[in-house]
Amino acid sequence: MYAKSLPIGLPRRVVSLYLLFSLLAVSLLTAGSYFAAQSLLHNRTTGSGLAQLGRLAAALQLDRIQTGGEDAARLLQATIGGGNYAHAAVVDEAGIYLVHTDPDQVGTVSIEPEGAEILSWGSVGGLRYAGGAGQMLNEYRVPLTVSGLPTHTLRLAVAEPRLTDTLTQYGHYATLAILAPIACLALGVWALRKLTDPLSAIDRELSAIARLGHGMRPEPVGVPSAGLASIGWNRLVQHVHDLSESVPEADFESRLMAASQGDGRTRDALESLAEGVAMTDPEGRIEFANRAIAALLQSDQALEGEALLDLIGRIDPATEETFRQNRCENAVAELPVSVGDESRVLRVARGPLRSRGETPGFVWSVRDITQQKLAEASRDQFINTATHELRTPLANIKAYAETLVTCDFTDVEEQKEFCNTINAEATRLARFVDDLLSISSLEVGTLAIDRQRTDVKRLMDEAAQKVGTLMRSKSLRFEIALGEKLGDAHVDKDKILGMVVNLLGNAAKYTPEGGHVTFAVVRQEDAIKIEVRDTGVGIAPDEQARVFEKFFRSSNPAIREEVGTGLGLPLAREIAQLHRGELTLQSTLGEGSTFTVMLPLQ
Amino acid sequence: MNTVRRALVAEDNAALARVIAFSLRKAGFETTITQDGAEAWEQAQANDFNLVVTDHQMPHLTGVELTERLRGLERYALTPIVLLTAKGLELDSERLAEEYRVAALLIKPFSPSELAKLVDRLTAQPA
Repeated sequence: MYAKSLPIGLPRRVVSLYLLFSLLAVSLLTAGSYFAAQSLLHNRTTGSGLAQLGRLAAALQLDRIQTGGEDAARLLQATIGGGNYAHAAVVDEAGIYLVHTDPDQVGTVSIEPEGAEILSWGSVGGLRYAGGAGQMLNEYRVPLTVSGLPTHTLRLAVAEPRLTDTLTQYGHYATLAILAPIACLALGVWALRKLTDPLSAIDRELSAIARLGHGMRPEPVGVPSAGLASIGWNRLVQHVHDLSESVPEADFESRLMAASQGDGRTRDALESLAEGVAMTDPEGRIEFANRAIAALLQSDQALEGEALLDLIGRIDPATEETFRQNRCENAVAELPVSVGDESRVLRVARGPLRSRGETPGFVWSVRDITQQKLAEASRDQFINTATHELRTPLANIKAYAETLVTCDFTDVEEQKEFCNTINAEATRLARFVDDLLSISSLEVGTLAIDRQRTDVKRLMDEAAQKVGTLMRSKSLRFEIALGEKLGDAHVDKDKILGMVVNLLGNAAKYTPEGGHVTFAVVRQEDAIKIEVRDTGVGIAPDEQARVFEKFFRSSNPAIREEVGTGLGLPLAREIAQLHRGELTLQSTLGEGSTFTVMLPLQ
Repeated sequence: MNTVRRALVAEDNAALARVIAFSLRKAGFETTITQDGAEAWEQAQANDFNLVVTDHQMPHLTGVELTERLRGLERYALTPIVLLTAKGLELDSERLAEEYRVAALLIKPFSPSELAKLVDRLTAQPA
């Protein structure tokens, strides 16, 4: 299939080009050799012919001097006896053959052959023409001088050897001459093939990979090892194989599936997650649920097959809609649920399991965000309280100041009263800021207490001193009853001080002018008892438990009139509990309250 | 209009209630102050006020609830009502105007002189 669509790949082209150029080179070489051989043969013929001509001419001259030319015919005959000489002759001025190696020609007039090529080498000339039997004849002519005058001409004809004759002559070399180049060519092709075969294979593999459909996994195979390219390719193939072995077929989702069907490690990991993880079919029926889900739903029976959303509980229509839509995307909802007798908030997220193709299931994650929600609510509540406490005195100050500026006051007392109000509101604002600061110093590090040996009496004196001004400003009778021999205790000095000041401050705040506050501390056998009693507004029975809740503020106008963060009592109780002690309250509305702290000595 | 004009001030912040009352007195009103929504409702039933200035955030009965009840009484059908509310707890003034014909919604902190001018305009209209 591949060869059909790509008849000539790159490596094949290389081989073809090699063959083409090789053939061209051989042809050129052959042609060149042919002409060179021919020229060589011609030159050799000419050279030997001229030399022979010279020797013959000299011999003839000598003969003429010694014998008067008797031996001329014999000399000519002897000359053409060896080699390719066709004939030799001496011609007189009139062109009549005086001597000829062919006795029949003697006495005849020489006829110049037609179409002859005239040759010339200085005084020596000649003709080149086709003789009988299709052979080329080179006839060299040299004048023979008699008494210094050229009267006769010596002619010597040489048959030019034919190339074919030469080839035939050298025929036994032909086998070698033809076979050797062919063998070399074949060797070249073989060597090239050896080099290009791996490339060709790689080329095929790459084309096959390029033709793969989207998402299909390429499975390349190795090629015969030859050259760097094949080594590199084979390494790549090995790497791909290693990868596909180390990463099992599938992505996360199918591994999750595998986990649900019993792949130990992943299953263990899912089971140990604090977040609930479940997989369901498209209808939301559970196929796998980890332990966290069971714990979140407080279910001890098997969850498989149940509809997850039904297990979670009552779902409002908007949420139901969210989960009915967006089947292809992630859907998230925060669901208030009641588990047992607790109400909790669960964050339920659902995403599609894409690896399942046509009928996708879902992967769910369920997390308990109750604490987070509570913290958020606390924060919001604190901000609300704080802004209200800051805004109220500010609004009053602004209203009074503005009225003072814009109205004409006829009554000086009235004017003075306005100024007093501004002053009081500013004080209230300052007190709230102080409250905030002390609360934040208490709240920082509430998780840990730093116990130190502390002189209890000195600590309580310090607390009493801190609220002295406030007590006096409201003309309260502040009675301090510190028992004898309070001794030392291992407590967090700063936090206990903060707690006592807070309790005394509350007593002062919520006790009308002229009231009575008692601060009593006694050492009991194994504890220190701190009591703060006031004759203040008191706390209604239904609010007595709630005053320890963070941000709770009484609806009693007498209490709301005062500033408060809603954090003082909760923190005081926390400090007592951190010391393994307790903070309790007895109160009668309109009569007063008593806060009691029991601090165990060890 | 020579009869005595009477105003009800319902505001749980006592100091603010006093300065509002002061401004209204300067504008010629006789004022009654309450710091509780339920008490304001009782006062409104017992008396006949020409103007009601009420805070929204009050114990027992909110300003909007008080307004709703007042509009249920024939003699308060057209009485100008000014609602006070805190910044950040804004009420929908258009809806209030449409549904209960609340004359104005003031966001605290506001200036009493602004209130006085507003009251002048509101009580001058019928005449």
